[in-house]
Parts: sequence; structure tokens; C-alpha cells
Amino acid sequence: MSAPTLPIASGIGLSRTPLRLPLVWIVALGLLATVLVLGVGLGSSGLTPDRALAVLLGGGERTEQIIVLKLRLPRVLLAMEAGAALALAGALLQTATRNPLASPSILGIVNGAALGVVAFLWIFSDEANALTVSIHWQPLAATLGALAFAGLVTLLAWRDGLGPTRMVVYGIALGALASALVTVLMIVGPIYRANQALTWLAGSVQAAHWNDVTIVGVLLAMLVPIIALMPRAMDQLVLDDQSAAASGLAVTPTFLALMGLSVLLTATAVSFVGGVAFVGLLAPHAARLIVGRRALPMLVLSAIIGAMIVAGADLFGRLAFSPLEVPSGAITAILGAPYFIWLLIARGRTHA
Amino acid sequence: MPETQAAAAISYRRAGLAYGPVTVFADLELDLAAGRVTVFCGPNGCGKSTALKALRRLVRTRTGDIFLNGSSVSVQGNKALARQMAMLTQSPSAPEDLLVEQLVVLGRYAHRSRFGGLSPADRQAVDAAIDACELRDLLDRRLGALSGGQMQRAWLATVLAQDAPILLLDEPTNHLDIRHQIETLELVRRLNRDKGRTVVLVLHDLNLASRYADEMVMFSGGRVHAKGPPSEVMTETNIGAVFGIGCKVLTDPELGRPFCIPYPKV
Repeated sequence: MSAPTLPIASGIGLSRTPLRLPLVWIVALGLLATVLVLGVGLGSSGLTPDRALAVLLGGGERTEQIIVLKLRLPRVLLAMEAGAALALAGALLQTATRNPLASPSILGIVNGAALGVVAFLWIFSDEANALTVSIHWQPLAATLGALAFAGLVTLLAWRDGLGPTRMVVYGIALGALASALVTVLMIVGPIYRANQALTWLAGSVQAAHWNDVTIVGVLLAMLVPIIALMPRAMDQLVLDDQSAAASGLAVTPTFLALMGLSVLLTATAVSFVGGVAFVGLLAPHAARLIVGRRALPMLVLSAIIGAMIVAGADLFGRLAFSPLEVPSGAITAILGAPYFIWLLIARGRTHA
Repeated sequence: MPETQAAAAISYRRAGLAYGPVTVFADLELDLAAGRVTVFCGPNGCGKSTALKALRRLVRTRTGDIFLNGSSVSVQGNKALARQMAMLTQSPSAPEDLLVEQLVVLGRYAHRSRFGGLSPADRQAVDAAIDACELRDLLDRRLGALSGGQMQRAWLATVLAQDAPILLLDEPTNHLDIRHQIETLELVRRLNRDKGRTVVLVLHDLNLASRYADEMVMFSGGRVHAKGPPSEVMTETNIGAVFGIGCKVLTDPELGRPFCIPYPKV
């Protein structure tokens, strides 16, 4: 990948540690904290940042506490968790496929999860459009859909030796199939449910509960230690398969581990907040522009940027058209699509 | 090292090698001596590159086995194998914005744990590789900004940084001009003579092969057609039979090695 303009920090260098690196982390964490404070403060009954901060630090009045801790904090935290998960999923996927334009949605995972949710809403609705089971089963339906499609893509690609290109091609094909089935189910299914599904499909943290925050948090806490084992191997994947294997890397197991982690992270995020678009593509790309391609800092910064994007998009969606709320997934798509197009044009230019 | 010359470091035992349904070797039998420069040669598609890849386990044996100092390569760990054998593949690739130094460091993978920076041994090996390939002035250069010869040196340094006693090189002179071909092979010979490294390389150019090989292995149609010192392998009969051409084999007046002038088949 040839990155335009911004300087790339030399990562693996023997002696040089770029001085500006600590600054990057201070700025990144500062911005993340700012988004957190603004996110719990701003909204239909707004709190000034200093009030919001006071509540976060354990003070504040009773009403302020309810607004911040019960209504807004779970929403902001869930957005951050989902954003971090999607960004990590994208970063692992881009490394595994050696394609900086890869994102979780191209593996059919996101559409698979969507199909799971729509099928769930369809199967478990009664005549009066009421759900016959608890809505809390919806994430499980999404996860099953995601895993089913990820498994199908892997199985199909397996026959031909599991190359990244094959996986992407099968992923796009099966993703299109899932998306077509979603459309069919939405048309033949109950209208009220279709509406609900639509909000979910766009990606939203509107309905976040502390429960969701805890479950996603626990899942991330289980996945992160495994991800932490990967950076050295990921660095080796800048080499072609044969050179990487000759240097001692277990290429296929590494590839499968990265893909598997990417699927699990995507399913985790998508199950709870829906198909938030472009985060998995944008966050790792931005992170690479800032700290270079070395896996460890790239992963950490991706996660921070991803958290910032989704929480920021949710905040923006709440404020911009108030009192209406626009799903954060719509905002990330509106911001993400032009960036993606710019990326394609910039790459086209450097290749020409 | 006369006593190690006799010992077979590498043994192919009835090795069956294939790509999908296409069999390259049905049962390859071959012994290669330690501490020597062995050159695999033969026509396109004769399997010389496959034989090299199988040794480094980039192609798996279907039947039979390949042994390295008596133990099968098919059961060893990836890193353990990489510490014994480094290989320069035929068309290696890495991103254009990678720096030369970053590339060379990647050669240390098999010696490093999952965490932590470079150990003193890592630094030493990287430094030695950089010096051997005369890359000192190019460390901060992006790979995309290198010439063909510089690029080949950068890759060779990466392979050397792996610090393995056995070096496998698949057509290391590909795309190099005549001067860089000679320089690369002189370096390979120095690594063999000075550091006692066992070198196995695939070369297309018979005259270069003859010049740098202690031993040549000439493959043809999934078999070893001839094996021995260049003076025995580089004969008009062998070359005629394997390549299907006419030729004249003369002796290099400077080096005393055989060299061949090819002619169309009569």
C-alpha cells in the first residue's frame, strides 16, 4: 500500500523511536475522553461538560445522575465498544488479506448477522406483531447469522486452498445473497418489525442498556488477550506467503486465527448495535497513516479511533436533527463513503 | 572441511512431489553434502524449483520424506525449521513503503518470541547481514525506491539475518544484470567459504552454475539426470539430452571450469 502525504512512523527500526509517538497517544486518549464527556452531556436535556464530568467522577445532582449514568453512559460506552470491536475486526482482516480496502462487511459477516436478526424478528412475531420471545435473544440471532455465513465462506474458500482473494469473492457473493434474503423477509414480514429491523440494519446504539455494555465488554475482554498474541505474526504478513513461511511463520494458522478473530469481533459488535458501516475500513486506515503499519500500535490506535468514530457519530446523529435521532450507522456511512471514494482515487493516482 | 563433505546433510528419500494432479517427482532420491555449494539446474518445468521448495517445506511431500541431518523436515516446527534453513524465494514481495531496515529485521522472526524488542543477537545478525550485502547506506530507503540489484541485496540480507546454517536460493540472479549476477554469486560463495554455510541454489544459467557450484544436480523429466562436480555434469551429452540442443563445452581459460556454447539442435 502506498500511503499518500502523511509521514509514516518507522516502526521496526533498530534505534529510532519517533519522538512524536507519545504525543499521538496523549492526543488520541484526550479526544476519546472528550467524546465520552460530550457524549454523556449533550442531548435533549443538555449538561455542560463540567457538570457531565462531575457526574462521571461520582458527584452531581440526582437528575443529572439519572441522565448521565442511566440513559447516556451505557449508550456512549456501547458505541465505543462496538466501534473498537469493528475497528479491530477491520485491522485484523486488512492484515490477513493484505488488502487495505478490506472491511468486515465484505466477508458477508455483517449481512449474515442482519439476516439472522430479520429472520429472528420474522419467526418469533405473532399475529399482533408482538414478539413471542424476549428481544434479548436478538444478539444471539445476529451472532448465529454471522457465524453461519463466515463458516460458509470459509468452507467454500477452503476447497481452493483458502486464499484471501477467494474468501473475499465468496464473501461478497454470499453477502449479496444474505442481503437479498433480508429484503425478501422485510417485504413478506410484519411491517412494524420491518421498521424495527431497518433501524437495526442502519446501526444504532439508541436502545443501549447496561446489560449490553457488560456483555460486549466481557466478550471483548475474552478476545483482546488472544489478539494481543498476534502482532508479531501480523508484522510478518507484510511478506508474501512463501517468504513469510520461509522465515518461520505458520502462514495458514495465522491467517485462520486472524479471520476467526475478525468474525467474532464483528459478530459481537453487529449483534448489539447493527451494521455500523465503514468503521472497520476507516479506523485501521487512519491508524496506519498516523503510526505506520507496525501491528501493535496500529491495532491499539485503530480501536481508539473506532470507538471515537461510532460514539462521535451517535452524538452527531442525536444533535444534528434534534429532536429526531439519526442512527449512528447512517452518519458513519455518510462520512465514510466519501473517504472510501477518496481513498480509491488516491490509490488509483499513486498506481498510475 | 573435507570430513563434512562426505556427510549427507540433506536426503530426499523416495520423495513424491506434486501440484494438484500434476506429479513433478514420483520418487526423488537425492543426497546433498553439508558445507558445499550445490546448484540445481535443468530445463523449465524439470522440478528443480519444486525440489528446493519441498526441502524448505513450502511444498509438502506426498509420499516419502526429506531428511535434514537425519530428521524429517515434515514433522519439525515452523520456527525450528526456519532456524536451520533460510530461503530466498523466486519472486518475494513486500510493500513499497517498507524500509530496507524493516525488511531485514523480518528475517529474525524465527529467533524472536511473541513479545519484546530485538535481542543483542538479533541486532548482531541484522548488522552482519546488512554489512555482508552492503546495505549500510540504504537502510532508510523505501523498497519502492530501490533498483533491481539493490532490491535483491535487501532480500538476500533478510534471508541472511535469519542466520541459518543452510541457505536455499531460488534463482537469486533473476532480473539482475551481469555485474550484479556475479556480485550476488560471489557473496554466496563467500558465505559458504567463510561461514561454512551449506548453500543450495537454483540457477538457469549453466555457465554461472558451473562456475560457482561444488556440485551440480541436473534434473530432467522428474528425475536426477546427472549429479557431480561441474566437470562431470557439464558434458555435451548431458546438456544435449536434457535440453534438446546442440552445444560445445569448453574450459574457461581463467577459472578452469567447463562452460557451454549452445547451438540449435542439428
